[in-house]
Amino acid sequence: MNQSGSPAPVEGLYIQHQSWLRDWLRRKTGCPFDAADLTHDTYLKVLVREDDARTLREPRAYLTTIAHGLMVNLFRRRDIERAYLDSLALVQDAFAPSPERRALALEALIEIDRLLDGLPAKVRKAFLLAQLEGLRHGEIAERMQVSVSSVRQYLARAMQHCLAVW
Amino acid sequence: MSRRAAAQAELPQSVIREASIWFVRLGAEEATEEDGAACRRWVEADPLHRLAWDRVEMLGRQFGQVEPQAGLAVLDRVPSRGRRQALKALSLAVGLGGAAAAGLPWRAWTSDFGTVVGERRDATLSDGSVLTLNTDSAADVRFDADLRLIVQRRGELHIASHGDPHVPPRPLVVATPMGRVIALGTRFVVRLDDGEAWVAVTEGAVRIEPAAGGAGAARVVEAGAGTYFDERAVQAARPAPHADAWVRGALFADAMRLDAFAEELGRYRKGRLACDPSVAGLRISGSFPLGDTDRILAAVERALPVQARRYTRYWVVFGPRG
Repeated sequence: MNQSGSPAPVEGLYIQHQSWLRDWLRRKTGCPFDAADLTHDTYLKVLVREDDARTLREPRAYLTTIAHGLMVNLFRRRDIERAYLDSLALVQDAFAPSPERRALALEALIEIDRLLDGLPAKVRKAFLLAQLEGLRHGEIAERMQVSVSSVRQYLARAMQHCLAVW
Repeated sequence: MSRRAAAQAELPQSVIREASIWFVRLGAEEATEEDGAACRRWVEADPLHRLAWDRVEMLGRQFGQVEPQAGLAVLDRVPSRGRRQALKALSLAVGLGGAAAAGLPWRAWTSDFGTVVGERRDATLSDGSVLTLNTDSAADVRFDADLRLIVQRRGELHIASHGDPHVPPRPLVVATPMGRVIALGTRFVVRLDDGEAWVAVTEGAVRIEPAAGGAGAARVVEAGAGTYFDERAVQAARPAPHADAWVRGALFADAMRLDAFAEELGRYRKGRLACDPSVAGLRISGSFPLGDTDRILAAVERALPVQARRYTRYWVVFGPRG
């Protein structure tokens, strides 16, 4: 009844829009299970920020913004997981990391990926070589065919970016 | 999760910039201990500096959870992809993930067997012999009808050789750039250093044939002894009682100088592990478990009047206490 204008408590948001949101998510994801999970997660997020929910002017836009963010995160996470498993497939079984190490590595990869998002390719590359391989600045310069001072600019920029989006 | 809690505080742009400059300065080849001390003063001058530096270090620890090759494969795939494009990219990645990963330069894994810094692994070969690779090592295994050949690419390996089930039995040979090491029924270690290789035997014996030395240069090394060799010659053997301690996950030191100990321990850690000249001559003894090198640093601090100063995750220096 109040698509815009009047207050919309979470219960109302849920009753009025949850099946619409789930349909919207099903169309976006093409998967009813993902749609159900993401609908649930979206309302969880809304609950945590209940103050906002009471003053909503466009509840569906609000819901889809949250849902879209969650969906992107879910797909990004799966994308990283798949790439990580692909990279392990090239390792001899005898040398593959343990399940515990894999889980820790995957969480770290997802977090690092989030922090690095949006960095230019060279900046990202230099930072990865420094942080993952522990390469010296001169070695990175050689590997990337750029000057040492460029490498240092890249590294500073990457770290600034990470600290800024933390 | 602790990271989420710490994430509440916003850092001012100026602090972010300064922390990033320190990060680069301390990572530089020419960084001195004064730089390290100056950075510490900066960190301690303001709680926001401390928070920024904690995040720099936290990020370093996150990277430490990931094997370098896997990390590069995953994080360096499609650079600078915005989150908004993630969905579009996903539809491509579903089909291309494997191919994209397979096209990468796998330095450590192009060898049949490889380890990264700090790692140790063993593998049972087709003849029953057990190959163990120490930290940051790689070897190819090439067995055919005539020869059990192991081509050592880098680092250090140990072989517990097994009688060959093949008839007739094939020789077991480790090929290095400096020459060949031939097992004479045995357990032994081969380690590649700059321009020379170290061989130590714990059981049986090996025959060393330097690559350019001719037949006269070959020598046999017996159990309990070790020696260096290069392309031309084999040095005189010397006692080497604990050369295979690493196979059991231990770093063994018998009144070892601290600078030599730091160099040895440094092989198991990424980055630099240095020793201040004022404490370089101190002696350390013991058997240290290699599983957690930070604990070894702490053990050294307890055993000797020294302090392990951590400037960054990749730069630790043993110096006088205080």
